Amino acid sequence: MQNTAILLVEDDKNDEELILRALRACEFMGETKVARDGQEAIDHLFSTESPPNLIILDLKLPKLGGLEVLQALRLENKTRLIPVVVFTSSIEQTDVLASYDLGVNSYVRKPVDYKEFNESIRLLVKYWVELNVPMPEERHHMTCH
Amino acid sequence: MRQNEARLKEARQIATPGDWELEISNGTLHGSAQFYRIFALDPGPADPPLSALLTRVHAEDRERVTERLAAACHEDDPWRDEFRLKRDDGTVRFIHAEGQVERSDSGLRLVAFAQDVTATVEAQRQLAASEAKYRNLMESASDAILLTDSSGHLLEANARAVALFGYSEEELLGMHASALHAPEDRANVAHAFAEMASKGRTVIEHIMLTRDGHRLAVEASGSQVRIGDELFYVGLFRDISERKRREQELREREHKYRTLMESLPQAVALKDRNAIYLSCNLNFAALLGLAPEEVVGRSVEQLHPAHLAQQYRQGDREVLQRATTLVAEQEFAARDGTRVMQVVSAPYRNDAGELVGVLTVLWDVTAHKWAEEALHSSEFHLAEAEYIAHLGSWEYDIESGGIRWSDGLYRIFGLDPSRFHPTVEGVLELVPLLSRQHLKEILQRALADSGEIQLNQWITHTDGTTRVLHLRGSLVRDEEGRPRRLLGIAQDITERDLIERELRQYRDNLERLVEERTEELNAANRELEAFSYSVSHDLRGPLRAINGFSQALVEDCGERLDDLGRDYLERIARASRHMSELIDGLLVLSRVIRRELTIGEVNLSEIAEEIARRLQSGEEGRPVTFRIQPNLTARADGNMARLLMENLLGNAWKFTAGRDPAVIEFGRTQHQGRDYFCVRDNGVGFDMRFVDKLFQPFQRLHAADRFEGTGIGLATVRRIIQRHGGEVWAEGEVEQFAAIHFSLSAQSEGTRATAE
Repeated sequence: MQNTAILLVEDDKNDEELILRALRACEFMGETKVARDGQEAIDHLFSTESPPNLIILDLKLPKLGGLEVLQALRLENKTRLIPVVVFTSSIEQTDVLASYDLGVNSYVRKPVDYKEFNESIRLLVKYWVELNVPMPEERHHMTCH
Repeated sequence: MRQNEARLKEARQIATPGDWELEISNGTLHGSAQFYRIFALDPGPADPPLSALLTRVHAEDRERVTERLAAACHEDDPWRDEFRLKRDDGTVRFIHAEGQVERSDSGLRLVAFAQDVTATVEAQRQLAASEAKYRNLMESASDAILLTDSSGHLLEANARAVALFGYSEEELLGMHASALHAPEDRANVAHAFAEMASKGRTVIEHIMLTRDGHRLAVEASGSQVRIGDELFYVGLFRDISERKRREQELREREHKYRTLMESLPQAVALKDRNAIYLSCNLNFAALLGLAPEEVVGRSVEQLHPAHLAQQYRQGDREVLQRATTLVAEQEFAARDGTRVMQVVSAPYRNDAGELVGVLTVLWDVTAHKWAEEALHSSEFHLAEAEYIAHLGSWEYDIESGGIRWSDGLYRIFGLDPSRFHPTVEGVLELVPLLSRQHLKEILQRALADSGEIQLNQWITHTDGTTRVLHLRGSLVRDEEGRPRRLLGIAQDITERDLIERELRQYRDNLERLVEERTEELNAANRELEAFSYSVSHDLRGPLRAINGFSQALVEDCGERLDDLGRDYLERIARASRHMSELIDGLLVLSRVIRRELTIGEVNLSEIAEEIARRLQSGEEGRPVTFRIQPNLTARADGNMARLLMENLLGNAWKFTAGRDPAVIEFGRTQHQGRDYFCVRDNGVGFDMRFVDKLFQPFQRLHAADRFEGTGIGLATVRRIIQRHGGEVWAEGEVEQFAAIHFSLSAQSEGTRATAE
């Protein structure tokens, strides 16, 4: 899995560390870039020559929030097709609905349990990066919860 | 007797003629003793002269007697005379005397006799008087009188008979009496004659014929008279046609009167001046429970209670005194109870116009009276109600423009009904100047089209206070749809108005308060949401770190830790997981509280089946039997119903751990006549003493090390059920069973279930 890249938009250092550990645990070999706030993520994505294969996006972010980032990406041709997974603590219905409204590919809640956490990351990577096959049913499945 | 004998003797003596002679030459008299007795002369020693005799003759007859005597002496004719003697005692005797002049040797002498004929003359005179009397009687009689012989031929008829039968007297005499009797009545007549023959007299009524053929009703009284050997019949006939006619008339009048009396629906009675009943109709008698003949002849005292009799008598007296008709209402003690009668008493006069009694006509107005009393009573109630409600009613007659007020309305204005007579102008003056035009317009509009009036109007009470009147009215139309009257009420709502104003103020305050509170509440909700958000977001972050890094520590440095260190790290991880569940539970609970319900038909059985499958697949091999009654439905919010069932079945699953076999049931139960759903398990159960703690958040009945759990599940269950308007309660027994009964609305959910 060379030449793949993931953009992690995460302001929480602990979560960043846990996600990176999880990526390592699932033997993700691509490049991982981290943006600490929404603005940084936008700046990077709009300017970079090599867009990532997957964006893992937290919702509660400094400067620009995750939903604003998502909206901006989906309005921009260059970025609108990049798979985005919201990975967040919130299971507020409003957050879930708003994310899908704005065209998120997947909405995954951050599990507290370490094993579940790692498993979530593993599945995300496997699905969106390694298989890289969009599955429309995914969206349905998520809204039902 | 001796006296009679003496008188008889005297009569005989006197009636005997006495002979006497008159010597014409010397005028001396020679007479027998009887002669002297007749003339009451003294037979003295010498013969008395003629003059002595003549002095005895009644002065009126004396001259005539003297002349006739002289004539007889000279003419030689027989002498006959009747003259009166006047006795010394003043009595007058009638004397018949006759004589003849005779010639003899001694000269001329008149030989004569004299007889006292007083008795005969008297008898004749009496006969004549009697005859005259009889004639007079006959002719002056008002009845016709006929006399017949024994064969029935008429011998005499009086003037009245002539007039009555139309025949002349000559025609009548010689007619047979039968010609005067109507042919159809002959048997009657024959009977009358027979009766006269046997009894001497008879009285009959029969029909006779006049000369021109008219029939006469007569009353005849006849008698048989025997004179000597002969029989006569005398009949007196009285024309009773008129009487008959009168009688007939009277009968007819009586009949008419009777018919009238009996055909009247009223009771009618006639009393005389002494309050004694002369007649009455059946209605009157029936009131007393008597027959009319039992009433007639009895006095008011005999027929009515004393106090009423006195009243009636007094009434009659007044009618008779004033000679006028009086109308009154009187009590009447009828057989079936006391009744109220309308009584008309009229003076009753006979044909001569004399007041002879009182005619009373009575009709029963008891029912009417009651109705009247009821009306009075309801009017009274109405007035009372008006008084209590500060209410009055009014009426405006469109045609006349007249206005009528109830007493209540006068009271509202403080006006005197005897002084103030409402008119349109007058009423308008009672309202403030500025309102008048408005009021007029409303009136006109009501009359023109709307037909309704409803407004509040300020008025000034006569005591100077300002009042608020609520006016309502509506138009009354006649059959042709023309407006006739406006009918309405007016209510003094001053007090109510004040209260309403105050209430309005309170309400405004309250609304403001509620608004403030609502705003505060909304703010609190917003805070709560923010809090929930941060709980879900911010609290979980650190937990994740605690859990994650404790595990990372085991992974990365596990070989550098001893068992105790690893155990601690494991505990850290477990505690953080539990805290995470607590947080999730709290979030769910807060969402149950806040979220709006979307009610629809929910199949609880299907949800239960699904949960059961998931539970069993999550922990395969556990010996749990689910018994789920199919197709139990409820009207509920689908998501919450699912949450509810998840909690209940999850609990059952949890608390039956270790049971073999474990049985978890979902079905219907009944309690106090109502249907409930029920989730029941044969798990560890609980002690009913702590049942109250069951539904409280964070209250656990079992040690955390024995059963996992947050203590929020049943609190959430209760909240869901409360939000659906249902009920929930639990029953259980330690180590035996636990059952949660619930309904999802105030309605009986189980009934719905059986219906489907």
